[in-house]
Amino acid sequence: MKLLRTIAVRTFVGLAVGGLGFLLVLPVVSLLVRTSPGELLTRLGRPEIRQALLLSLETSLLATVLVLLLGLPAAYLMASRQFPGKRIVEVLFDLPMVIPPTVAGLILLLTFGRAGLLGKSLGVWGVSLPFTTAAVVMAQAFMAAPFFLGPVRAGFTTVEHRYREVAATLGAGEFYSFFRVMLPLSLPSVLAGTAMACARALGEFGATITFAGNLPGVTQTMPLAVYVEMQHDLGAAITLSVLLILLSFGLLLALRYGQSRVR
Amino acid sequence: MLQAQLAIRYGAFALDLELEVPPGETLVLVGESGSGKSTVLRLLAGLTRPTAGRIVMEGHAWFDSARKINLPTQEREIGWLPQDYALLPHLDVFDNVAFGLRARRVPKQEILERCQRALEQFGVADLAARRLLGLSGGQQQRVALARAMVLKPRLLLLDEPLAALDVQTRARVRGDLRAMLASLPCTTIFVTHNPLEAVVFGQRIAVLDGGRIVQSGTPDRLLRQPRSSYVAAFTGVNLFHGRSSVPQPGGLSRIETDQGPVLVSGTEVGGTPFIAVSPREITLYAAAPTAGSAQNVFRGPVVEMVPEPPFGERVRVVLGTRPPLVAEVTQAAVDRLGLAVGTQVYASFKATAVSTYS
Repeated sequence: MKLLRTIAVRTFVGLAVGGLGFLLVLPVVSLLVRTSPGELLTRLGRPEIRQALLLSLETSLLATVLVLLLGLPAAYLMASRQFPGKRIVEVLFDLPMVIPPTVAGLILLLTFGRAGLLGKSLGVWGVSLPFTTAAVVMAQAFMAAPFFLGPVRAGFTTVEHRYREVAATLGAGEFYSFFRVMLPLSLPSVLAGTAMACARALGEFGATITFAGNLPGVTQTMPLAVYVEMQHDLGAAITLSVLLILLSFGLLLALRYGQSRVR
Repeated sequence: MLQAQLAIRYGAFALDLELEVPPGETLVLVGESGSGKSTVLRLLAGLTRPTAGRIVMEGHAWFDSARKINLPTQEREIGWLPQDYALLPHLDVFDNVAFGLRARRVPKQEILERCQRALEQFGVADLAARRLLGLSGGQQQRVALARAMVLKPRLLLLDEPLAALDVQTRARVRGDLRAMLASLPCTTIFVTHNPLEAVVFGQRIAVLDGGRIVQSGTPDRLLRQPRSSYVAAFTGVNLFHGRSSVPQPGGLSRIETDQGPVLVSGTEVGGTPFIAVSPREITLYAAAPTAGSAQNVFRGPVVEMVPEPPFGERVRVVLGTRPPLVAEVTQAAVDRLGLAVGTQVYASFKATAVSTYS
């Protein structure tokens, strides 16, 4: 009886792990076997692919910096202060993670579009956001923010209170204490949040195409280019996909190494 | 001079007390866990805000609820050693000691000199470049002291500085710490749950119970005339709090306590005195003593027997008499009387063996 149960459990675990492998690993492998490194390199020379790659790198980097600048103080306040309605704010911060990206794009359009809530006043100053590279960065930052805020908030919360208290007794104000105690002690979490946000920004599609459109060289990032190329040049789509996967893989791998170095 | 009136209440716990520490002196706050000792330090440090009160350090008001003064922690010029010292784990020993000076933007050269001096003063100069991992408890304590004292604080707050150490090193570190504190000119408050530490470190001691000071004075006075069951349990004395006293013939008084009556010598005992009887003054008998001169005789079972000192010559016998008593007798007497847990015995002491004080 006991033997039977052991066999059953092992079979299930084996099937589950195998299934997960099929689901996650096989598609990546199948993509990589479809293309040779030589083909990849020659296609890299094509202007529309290079353009998409550079635009993606530029926008996702800017989006990450934006998320970092806006997110760090917010995550700190959320971790160190109590205020009414905190739960609601927390949920609002998490929301972009679960709403459909197209909906996110629509919200951004309704806010910053020509006829939008803020867009109208921006228009008075001659600023129009939609269908610009800036709009791509905004869409990416919007979608990536929760991936930064989550781990960083959790990291700040786990920094023991007495370290900040002892810093205060040593004469450190909150600002000094943040940079010299809080940030170094939660560096692994901040690294994780930054890398996750960057990877999410890199892969952003739905919000970008809705809010920023699909203009080659201006708003057509790699995921958008994959979608467009699929219709007439599968080889180009595959090249872009491989690049995206390698970039994300490298980013997350660097994060692992970075974290173990910091710890 | 530190003067403080502190009151705070959270949930069922209320703290309300006054402190006064002359400049350069060490006050020891002693009490059980939950008596509010650490809270007092947090209030003085500004880490917790009192609901009402006043803190004046050398003429500077740090906190005054009436005048709406509340100096933030970083401006109070204090040194605070929490129980496990809270050395910053991402910094090495030198950077820990330099932390406060850097936060105050002291010039580099001065930081170097002052830290070097502090590290030497506390005997940890050879550890300067070490990471914290692998430092012993005693070394961590010295680094924490150096980190606090390099800033020349007005007030040093020590929260159970010996609690984080293992038993083997505690006695040695206690001696070292005492010597170091004696050489510091800083007004100090030392919190401990251990009355022995209180006596070793304190010029003055305040006993804390339930957020109030139940006794304060010199170590000598504390040991001779304890006013709390906490300290009495430590010194091992039988302590009762009298409710009323009635003069008796023969120059005696009968004092009623919550746990039964006790006869003491003197007719002038008024009010609600404390009554202390040393366990060594109590004699045990197997049968009712008939020809003794002792005025206090009680009968009850032996509840517990503890060798004193551990595995020593004498035995502390805890009795279920009314009032409950602890007697200290020799091992020979235990054998002769055939004492065991549950044995009924008579315990007696003279009225003159009782010390009464209010």
